Amino acid sequence: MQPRSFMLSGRKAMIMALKNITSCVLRFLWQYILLFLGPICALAQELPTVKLETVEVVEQRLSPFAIGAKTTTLDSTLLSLEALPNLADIINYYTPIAVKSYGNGMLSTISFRGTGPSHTAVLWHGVNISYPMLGQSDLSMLSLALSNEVSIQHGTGSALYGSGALGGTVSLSNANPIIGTNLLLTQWAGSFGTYKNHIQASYANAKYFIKIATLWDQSNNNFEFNNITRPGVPTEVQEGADYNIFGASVESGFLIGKNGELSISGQYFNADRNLQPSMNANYLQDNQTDENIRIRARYQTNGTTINWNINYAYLHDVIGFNGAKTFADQQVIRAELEKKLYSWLNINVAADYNFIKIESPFYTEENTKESRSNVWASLLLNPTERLFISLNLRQSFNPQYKIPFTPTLGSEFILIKKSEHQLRINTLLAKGYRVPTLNERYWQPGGDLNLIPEDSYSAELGFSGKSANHLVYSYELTGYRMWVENWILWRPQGSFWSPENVKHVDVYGIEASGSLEHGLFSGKIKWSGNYAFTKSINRTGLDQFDRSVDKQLAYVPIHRATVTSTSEWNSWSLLVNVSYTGQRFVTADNEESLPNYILLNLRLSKSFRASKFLFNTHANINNLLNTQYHSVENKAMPGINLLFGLTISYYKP
Amino acid sequence: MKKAKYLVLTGALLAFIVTGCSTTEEYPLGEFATGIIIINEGNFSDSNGSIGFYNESTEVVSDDIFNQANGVSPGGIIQSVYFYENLAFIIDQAGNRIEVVEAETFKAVATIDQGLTTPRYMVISNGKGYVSNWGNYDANYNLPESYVAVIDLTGFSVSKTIKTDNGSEGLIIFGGDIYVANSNSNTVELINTTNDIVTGTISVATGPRGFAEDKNGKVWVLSSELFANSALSQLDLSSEQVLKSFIIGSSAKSLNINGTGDQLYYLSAPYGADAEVKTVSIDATEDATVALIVAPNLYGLGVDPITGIIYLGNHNGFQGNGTVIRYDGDTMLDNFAAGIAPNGFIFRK
Repeated sequence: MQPRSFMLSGRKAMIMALKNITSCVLRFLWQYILLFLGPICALAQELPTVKLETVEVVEQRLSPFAIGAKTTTLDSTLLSLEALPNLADIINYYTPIAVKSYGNGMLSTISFRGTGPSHTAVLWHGVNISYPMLGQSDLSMLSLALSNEVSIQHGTGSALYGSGALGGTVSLSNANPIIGTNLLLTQWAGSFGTYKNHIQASYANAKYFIKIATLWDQSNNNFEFNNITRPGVPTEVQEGADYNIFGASVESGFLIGKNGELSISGQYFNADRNLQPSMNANYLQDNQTDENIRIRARYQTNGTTINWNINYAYLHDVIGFNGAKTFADQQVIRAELEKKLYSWLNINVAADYNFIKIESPFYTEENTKESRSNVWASLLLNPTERLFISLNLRQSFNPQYKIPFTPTLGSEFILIKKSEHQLRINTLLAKGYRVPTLNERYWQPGGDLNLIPEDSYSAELGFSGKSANHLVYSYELTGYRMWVENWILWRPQGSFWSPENVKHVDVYGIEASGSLEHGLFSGKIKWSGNYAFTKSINRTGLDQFDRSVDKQLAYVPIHRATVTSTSEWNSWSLLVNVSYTGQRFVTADNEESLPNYILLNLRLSKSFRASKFLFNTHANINNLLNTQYHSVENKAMPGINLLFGLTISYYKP
Repeated sequence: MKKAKYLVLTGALLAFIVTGCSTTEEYPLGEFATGIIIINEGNFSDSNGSIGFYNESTEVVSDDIFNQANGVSPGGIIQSVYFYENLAFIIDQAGNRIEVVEAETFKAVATIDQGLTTPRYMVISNGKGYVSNWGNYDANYNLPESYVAVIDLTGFSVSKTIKTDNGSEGLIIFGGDIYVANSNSNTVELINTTNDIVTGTISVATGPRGFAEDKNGKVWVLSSELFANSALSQLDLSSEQVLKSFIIGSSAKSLNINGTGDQLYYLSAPYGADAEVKTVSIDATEDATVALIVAPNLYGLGVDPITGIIYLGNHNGFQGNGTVIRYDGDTMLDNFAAGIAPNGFIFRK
């Protein structure tokens, strides 16, 4: 890579981006006029009382029984100003967790605390939505336009969330809408033919709420890049990476009786992507379609001492690769009972049953079925005002393989407890597991029915504090170790590949985060930062010539950091986001690597009020430094690019 | 005065160097003129193939000689390399392209990137190049679109395509014509190089992949198919007859013949066990009962035609770079790091 050539092309890229934008903005405004002029005229006659939706940011645990685990809750105000991002973008920009993207808008997998893509549980309203064939989620296919709350629990959480929660757990959900009528129209348009539209409408009163949302997201994705695989490093235009996404969601809730609540959530998602080829590939042929239907119904009680929570979920996933489709249907039934036994002791007992059916041209049987069930129990002790202890125990059952008993013990001690300053110490001892995926068991050829679950042990210690004196700040420091055993690896066996329980991986690392808020002139500015140091070490040699023993796992950056500042002056706001991704080895023997990179994103927003309407205009400059970087070897990523957005919100109490 | 002295000295030294270089040879021999070419296929998902070079006399290994010569890695999935006179053709099956380089320096000459669909192997005969292409898969993962592309060697472009049976793979020149092994079928087809049409078909064991010609002018073909035994067949191409055929170990590949043309070598990779190097004489009528070498993760095989030393490519589980292991018979000599997934060797002697 020649840094000089990046600088030269930066200016050109900027000019190109600007040219592109002029036509975008015209088309964009025209769409708006056509779509929304009618309703706006009608609504404008209402009385002018505009209220800006603000959301308080609280450190919220995924579960009240997840004592001792570090949790990151993404600021939902911040998310609402984003350009209708997917989970991959958000994790990349605002967390120290590593994401590996096979191109812009393409398959994006997570590596949390040095683990693999199937070692993070991704939950939607508490239901694991990883594809059961793969045991992993494509983060680029999880839109935050449809699920606007993101909470991340760091470290092993298998005792609470089940299979796959080794490195961490990412939870998506939807905040209940505010009381009143709310209409939100959002449109973004920008470089390389990217258009995003989002419409959201909600109504809520004291008894019930309903919220519907739709998303269109499309891009030609024909960005320019420097092709480092061709002599002379020519600037080329990416071809064959266009995508088209449609999504819709409905959320509704009713209060029943004295303290009962029934809620129903539904989501439909449909993505059609041409898969971005490698820079040195010369063909444009792979196409992937993803279609997801997710429905969840929940009845829960909100009493003071005893509560029920009954969940039913139906998940339907269809993945098409060049027309060959795999269908997955899952049904999950879960019942939980939580009881406050004493003022200092809460218990929760739960059981679930998960039925999976796969129809795949790659499996032996036309219909492959598997059922899994779990029972788990949690204790939350609060013996003194300053001490919290939780014990979580889980046993999972599968008729075909034995799943280890999975306990977790966590504690939290409040060392300093003053109104203006708090300091806590957390500890966590956890066992984790991941059951073999259906591909690992049934794929033909290679799938192995004799695989056993992967398992892990981990220990962590953390400090966290916050102060709300003359300066508002918070800080957190966590150190952990984890040992993963029976890690499943696909290995060539004769002329095909087959998975085996072969790898042992030791992980240790440090996670640090902090935030600071202060006044600036008449406005205020907020800083937040994250850093992760991750050593994920392979301990298994496949043969005497294997040079990967004691080496860092491929694609796990040792260093990753993000810094974000948001400043507000009256109706203006500015976001500056910097993320650093350290060197990543691309081979297990660490003989080849991708260089580190820094991405700088800026967003300037201005809001206007008119009657009951709030207009928010945004200008985003992504990758301002025009860094030519690679998340995956030989997959191009866009340089500097622009996005302009307009949000119109209407609110009537 | 002192300066002048140095100038004279430097001048003399320069003159010595310049003349020293230019007098010994008519033209400078390329860095990679003699030695062993290592084809590092690359990882399928990352398209990171490369060409390695092993200098036997200095024991120096060069990792990515295309990059050394051209400043960029060839990338792609490099299925094979074909040498012809002063050129080498690097066949990238993922990039649907052939990089044409100078054989001795690996400096890029041309790129053929039109008209190829998963190109596999190449030969040159009658002044034209012939490249086997798998074509696209259909919905049932068959290869019904396979063809041989005819390459015009002056403009470096595909001038014609010749439809073959499914999965056209290994190629051999015999009597100036081309024989192609169709790995997704059970045929070897004859392509007449005068008019570039298929003029004959020989039925062989299912899954013919690669050829080797023995000292008697008989051609051997290795067949292998999934979930079935592999086979070796000896063909008389002039009469288009199968002379003999016998079953060999499973998932066999990399058919090689020694320098004297009387001993065949191949790799067998049985499921759930270590890979094997087996060798049989051209007089054999059945497979060798004992493997010559048993070792895990074998992916490529080459036999030095002069020294008889066996070169093995170990893929290290495709998790990282591979290893080249050298054997004299069944005795391991040494090993060295290679690129990703070394799948074959070419002996430039």
